[in-house]
Formats: sequence, C-alpha cells, structure tokens
Amino acid sequence: MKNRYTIFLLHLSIAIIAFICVTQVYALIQFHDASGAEAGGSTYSQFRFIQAVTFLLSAAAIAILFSREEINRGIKQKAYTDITGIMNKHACFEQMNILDCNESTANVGFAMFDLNNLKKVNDFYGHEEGDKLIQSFVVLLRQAADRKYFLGRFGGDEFIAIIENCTESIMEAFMERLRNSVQTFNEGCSIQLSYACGYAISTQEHYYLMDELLKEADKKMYEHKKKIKSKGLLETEQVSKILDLERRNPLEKDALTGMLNLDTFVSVVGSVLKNSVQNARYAIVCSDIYNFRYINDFCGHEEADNMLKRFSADLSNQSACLACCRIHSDNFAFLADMPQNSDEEGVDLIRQWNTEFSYMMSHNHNFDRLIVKSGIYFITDPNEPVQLMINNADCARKYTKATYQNIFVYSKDLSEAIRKRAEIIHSFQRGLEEKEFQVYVQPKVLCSDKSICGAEALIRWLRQDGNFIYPDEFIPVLEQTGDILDLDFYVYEKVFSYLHERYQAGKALIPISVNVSRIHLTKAGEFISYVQELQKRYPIPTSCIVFELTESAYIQEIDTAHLFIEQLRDLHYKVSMDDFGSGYSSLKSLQTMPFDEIKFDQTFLRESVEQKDHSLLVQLIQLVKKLNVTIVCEGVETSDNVNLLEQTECDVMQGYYYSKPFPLSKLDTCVME
Amino acid sequence: MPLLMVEVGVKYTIIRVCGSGNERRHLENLGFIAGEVIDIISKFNSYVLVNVRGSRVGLGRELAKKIIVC
Repeated sequence: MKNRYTIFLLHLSIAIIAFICVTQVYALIQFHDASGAEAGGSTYSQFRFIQAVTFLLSAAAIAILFSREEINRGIKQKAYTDITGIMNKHACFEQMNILDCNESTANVGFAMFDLNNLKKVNDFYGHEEGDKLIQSFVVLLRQAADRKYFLGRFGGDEFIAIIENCTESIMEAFMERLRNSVQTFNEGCSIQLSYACGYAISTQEHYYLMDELLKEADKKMYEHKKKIKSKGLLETEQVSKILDLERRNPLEKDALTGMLNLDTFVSVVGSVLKNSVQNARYAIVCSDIYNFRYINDFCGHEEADNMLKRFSADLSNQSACLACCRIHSDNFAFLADMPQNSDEEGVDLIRQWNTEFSYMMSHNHNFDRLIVKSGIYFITDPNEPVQLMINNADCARKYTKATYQNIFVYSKDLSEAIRKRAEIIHSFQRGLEEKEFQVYVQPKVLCSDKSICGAEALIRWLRQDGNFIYPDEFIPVLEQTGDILDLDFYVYEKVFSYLHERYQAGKALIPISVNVSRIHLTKAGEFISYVQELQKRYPIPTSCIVFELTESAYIQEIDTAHLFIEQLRDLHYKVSMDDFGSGYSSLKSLQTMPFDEIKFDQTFLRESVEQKDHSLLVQLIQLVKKLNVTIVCEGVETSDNVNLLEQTECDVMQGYYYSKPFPLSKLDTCVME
Repeated sequence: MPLLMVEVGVKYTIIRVCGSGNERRHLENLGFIAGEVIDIISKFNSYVLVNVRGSRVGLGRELAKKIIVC
C-alpha cells in the first residue's frame, strides 16, 4: 500500500523527528548550566522558548505519524474489503502468505464454499437478486463463523474461511452451524440458497502448505458439488423455482389441470436446456393413461377430469419433474431431471412413478387396471428443436401399445422404423399404380423325379429410386393398414392372366400358389366374388390355383377359416396351409383341417440340421401323410436337406437349393429347361 | 510435518518437497527427494543441519519449511 502520499508523509515525519533530536542536543550543549540561570535572563527565556518549540514539533510529528498510520489502515481496510463486507481475494492471499511465514501451517483449517446456480438466478431473476443472494450468504457465513475466523470472498461466488488452531471437530461444528442457518434461511425465502463446500485441515499426519490447503479444499468442494448434482438435488431445488408455475399467467396454462400449455412448455424446456449445466441430463417423457376413454364412458367426464387433475398434481409434485404440460386429453408431457449415471436408473424412476400412481388410483377409485404408459426420450443434444423431442417421446409412447410394454425408451432404431413404416404406408398406393410391385415365383420340385410341379407366387417391391423393400418389412405394415387386400388382388390378377395366356396358347399349365392374407378371412364374400370375377375374365382350370393360408391365420379364426376354405373348395380351388408348425396348431385340429396341401415351415428343416436330429420332422411327415394331403417342405437349401427329405414321404420340395425366386415371366423358360 | 518442527537426532523420511519450481529443483539437487531418509544433526533457531545421502546440508528457515517429513 505504498503510494506517494504516504511516502511523503513518512519522510516528513522522519525529518521532523531528526530536527527535534538535533535541537535537543544543541539545547543540552548550549544550556548545560541553564539551571543556574534563575533570574529570568534572556538565556533562560531563550531556553524555554526552544524547549516549547521542540515540544510542539515533536507533538506534531507524533500526530502526523499517527494520522498517517490511521490513513494507511483505512486505505488498507478499504482495499482488502469486499463489497460484501468480508475480505477480498488480495486479503485472502495476504493472509495465506502471513500463515505461510509462520513456523508451520499445522492445525490450519481451510474451508471453501461455492454457491450453486448463481448464474441461473442471475439470468432468471436479474443480477440484483443474485447480489442479494451473495449478500445473504455472507451474512449467514458470518453468523456461523467465530470472530477469529478469517472469511474471504475468493471469487464471484466462492468463499473461503481460514481457521487457525483448527481441529476436525471445530470445522465440523462450523459446517453444521452454517448448514442450519442456510436451512432456516431457505425456509423463509423464495430463491433457494444452495452451496457446495469442502475443507482441508493441515495436521501433523497430513501436512499441507497454504496453497496445498487451497487446492485440497477446492478439490473436495468440487467433489461435493458433483455429488449434489448427481443426486439431482441441485437442479430440482433451483430450477423448480425458476420454473415456478405461480409466475406464469393464466393464458400460458392449461385450463383444466393448471399445467403449462404446449407452447409455453416448449419455450420453457428450451430455456431450461439453454441454461442448464453442462453435464445435466434431461429427458422428455410423454405419458398417458391406458384406456382412458373407457373411464370417460364409465364414470362420466367429471370424474375423469378429476382424475386428470389428480394425475397432473401428482406429476408436478414429483421432485424430478421440472415442467409438465398437457398436450391433449390424457396425454401429458414433462421434462424430467434424470440421474446422470445410467439410462436404466431413469427408466426405473419413471416406472416407479407410474406404478405408484396406478396403485394410488386403483386404491382411491376402484379401478384395477389403470396403467400409465410412458415414452421416454433422453435428450442428448440440447440444441435440437423441442417439438422434435416431444414428438420423439410421443412416438415412443405410442410404441408402448404395440409392444405391450408400459415404458418405452426412444431410440434411433425406432425413428428409423417409424420412418420406414410411414414410407411404406404413403408410397404403397402409388407404388401399385406405377407397377413397382413385381410378382416373383419360386418353383416347387417333386421329390420323386425332381421335375417342377408348381410354383409359389411371391411379391417383390422395387422402388423407382432403386430401393428394395423386403416383404417381411412391408407385409406386416400393409396387413395393419388393410392395404394388403389390394396387393393380394394385384398378385392374383397377374397370376391369373399369366396362366390364362398360357392356357390360350395351349401350353402346359403349372399350378401356382398364391398367399391369402388373414384379413381376407373377415371379408370372405368380397374375396370370393373377386376370385369369381377373375375366373370369368381369365378362364383357366381352377386346379391350377392354390390358395395358401398361413397356419396362424387359420388357427386364430378357425371357424371363419373353415367356411372360407369350404367356399374356395366349392369353386374347385386347392387350399394349402402355409408355415405349418410355426404357430400353435394342435394335433386335434390336424384331423379336421380341410386342406389339400400342407407346407412345412422352413424352421423344421433348419432346426433338424442344426440339432442333427430329424426324428421329429420324419415322424411328423409320416403323421400328416396319413391325412391324405400333399406335403411340401420349404427351405430346402442343401443337398443334405434333399437327402433327408428323400427318405421321408415328403412329396414336394421348395427352396434355394433348386432355385431362387425369379420373375413370373421367366417361368416359361425354366419349365422348358 | 515440515522439517522445521523435527527433533534433533531422529531419522525422518521425506514425504514430499513443495515450494516453487526453482526451490524444488534446488532442494532436489541437494538430495532432498521424496522417499529419502535424512538424519537431523542439529537445529538452531530454525536453522536445520541435516545429513542427507551422506552429505551435511544446512537449511534455512524458508527452505526447511518446504520439506515435509515424517
């Protein structure tokens, strides 16, 4: 703290004191016999005068020195005091230096505190509130600390306390006092104060120099901070206040439940993500109550509304739920603060809520099956549009219904699957018009003389852009949408016209089997009339067409299937059972099966090769043979398969070993060969 | 504890050497390396005379403080 002014004062006072000394010495030499001169001579008065002057001057010098000291102290005090009233960083370093100069730094305790989320408070409430928060923390710190403790503000929101002659118990007591006072403060305050702390004490066993103490305390503090964050405490306490519903005006809320509406939710999520700490982990969760419309019908809308209110209140009270909104009816979306470690923990957390809610609801309202279904989307990139996140979570939620799960986590695969599904659904009709679908056939070969005795019509979808979509991708989708009917009819027409051409030309006819989707069973009349119409348009011997119905379709609707098959057989078409053995056909139903042909599923062959045990297949073929039907085996891929089947009573083989599927038009040449 | 607080005539092991880079280098050159066993020969007014690696080294207060022994 040396500035020009103080140096000048210092020099001045030294000069004055030196002058006083000189005058005193001069006076002593000059007036050594002054005591003798009593009679008020001029010498005596001269002496007294000089004495008086020296006295005044020395008094002045002392006064100057004192005032200088006073000014100095004042300046120093000002320079070392922070606006909060405790020491600033310079003073901290000075104090550390002083302690470092002592004999040793043993028994020095060093504590460090850091305010959490000061930045968020600054951003959301303004800097004034942030400053107030710092001030109040300092007050609390002072309350908790002894007068002897050195308190300092080390950085923006970092504070230190240095305690000399410290022990573990003194430090612990200090921390405890601080914790208590912060707790009482938080109870009566809207902006929550939370802090991380760490301390280090230098002892004989663990000896630290001052800068090492600082580092150690800092390290411990950050460990503590991390711990708080991973517990999710830090985020919830602060952010939930930031996301305080009270602060929202009614227009931004959902009228029924009082939650945010979708637009506000989107903006709130956006701002939370923007302001969140780097490694915080959030997820968007979309939940709905399974079969809620039945509750509406069953208990009336009032009761259902109450339930929704209950649900939203419950949701808002969850500590990790930061913001929630009602998208529509019983669909809710909320932003959840997830544990950092693993996704599973987060999923478990949400599962727990859902079960708790279901339990509570079934308890209070006598509904046994009130299930909450949730789709979870873990936010990986905070810069993504929030709408997209919500969409993703919603997709996952919808997917819970298809998979009979209560919770589904969104993944890239899911979005890919959904995209593909959408592509299939939306491009099917056009694909059909643009003739993107092609009918392929795979020949069937007689076991006895290896001649071609028939073929199975298959469908291939080659998009115009060159993409190839596999049947096992698009057929399940088309079955769900019902478009499979059009596709089947398309195939039938192709097959009928092909056979008709050959018939007209007088060539030999090969029976072609076509697949019948299970949906046709529900619209049997339409199916039959379509087939009859085809038959009229392309008259061919009906024995040339085999309709293949899968086992699962047959078993699921066994009565309708019987009727259906009867009708087809009345028209003299053959009916075959596809994929026999892949579903749940019981042996009892074998007897009543009205099929002309049974196709063994390819898994039989594959498994008998893999497990080197063909007894089941052989026995089964024997058994089925007794029913007087033609037996076809699918999936013949190796010569071993052929050898095996030749030993049994299998009639027809089909598989890659003989031929891959090829376009229908090439069947001619194939038969010729 | 720092070397300043040792008792005379006892053997100590150096746990670590702290201080600024130059100080540390200087002390290491003198033979004060973590793990080394040192003998305290005498101690006078925070001036310590030690036997390290067979040589006698006297250390002043400032340097002695930087050597942590046990």
